[in-house]
Amino acid sequence: MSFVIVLATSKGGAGKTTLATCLAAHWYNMGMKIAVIDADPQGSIIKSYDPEGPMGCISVFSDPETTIGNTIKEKKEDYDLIIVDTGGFSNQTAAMALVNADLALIPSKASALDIQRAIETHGLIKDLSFTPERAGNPIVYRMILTMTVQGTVIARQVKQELKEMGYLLLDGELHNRVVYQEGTLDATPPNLLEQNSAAAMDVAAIAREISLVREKIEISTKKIA
Amino acid sequence: MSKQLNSILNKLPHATASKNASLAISEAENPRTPNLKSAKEKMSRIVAPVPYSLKQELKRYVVEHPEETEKSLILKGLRTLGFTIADEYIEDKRKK
Repeated sequence: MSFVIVLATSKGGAGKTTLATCLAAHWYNMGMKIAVIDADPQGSIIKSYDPEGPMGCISVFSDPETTIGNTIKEKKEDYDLIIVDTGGFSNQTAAMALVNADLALIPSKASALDIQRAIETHGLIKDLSFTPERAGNPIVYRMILTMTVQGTVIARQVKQELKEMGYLLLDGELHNRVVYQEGTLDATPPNLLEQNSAAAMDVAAIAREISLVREKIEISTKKIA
Repeated sequence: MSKQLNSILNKLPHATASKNASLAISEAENPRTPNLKSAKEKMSRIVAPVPYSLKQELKRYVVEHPEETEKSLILKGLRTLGFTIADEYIEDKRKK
């Protein structure tokens, strides 16, 4: 059974693309068949994608239009996991991708503006959850903090406050590491080749949490069926 | 597509701002792209009722950012959606 993860937030530069490619690399290394769909009109992934390069092991497609729903459904037949990266602003394509998501990830830096946008995205997810397209199957979401500096209080404080406000967050964080910037130079997520690096450990921890969420979703789906 | 989803989508811009997106991106990359409307173009007015709170928010923003006007903010917003608007229409000539 295929699983669709959509990364969305209306704030640009929140780490969606980095997280999308790193998660894809992680699960590829775990032996899964992965498709990444670049739904960001800037095409950050597809523009740097080289099928002959290290990322060539992962299938990358582009669809920044509202046809994204059909593209997701089509790819579900061939891939274990589909990761959709969306544009850094509220737009119709991101909404259509979210309607087709099994899990929505809302990346956010630990700054007021980013958090505000993450909460706005949560509002959109909530609205979309009540559409007939979801047929009583609300979109499961998790917020995740990105570009946090390890060992600082701010991320912990922001996380705690968001949890107190009732938002669902992953415990794992995508820490601010130079390797992510280096990875953009050769369009290769750092954990694709260096599976024991600190960055790879961060991503693995996030992926483990997502897998647990996936298990819960699949169990509840089976119960409903 | 359901009416509810359609209604949500209608409140959001196109990701690619229709055919203007590639233009908008190329403008961002090369702001001197000669794609701007003529300065001699005839001017027109748009009058739109907006929530009172939004109007107040705009007023506060303009006070805090003297280089902006309500008009410049609206035009900038339209430009981010891919509409072609020359800088000269956005600049507040009264403050020069």
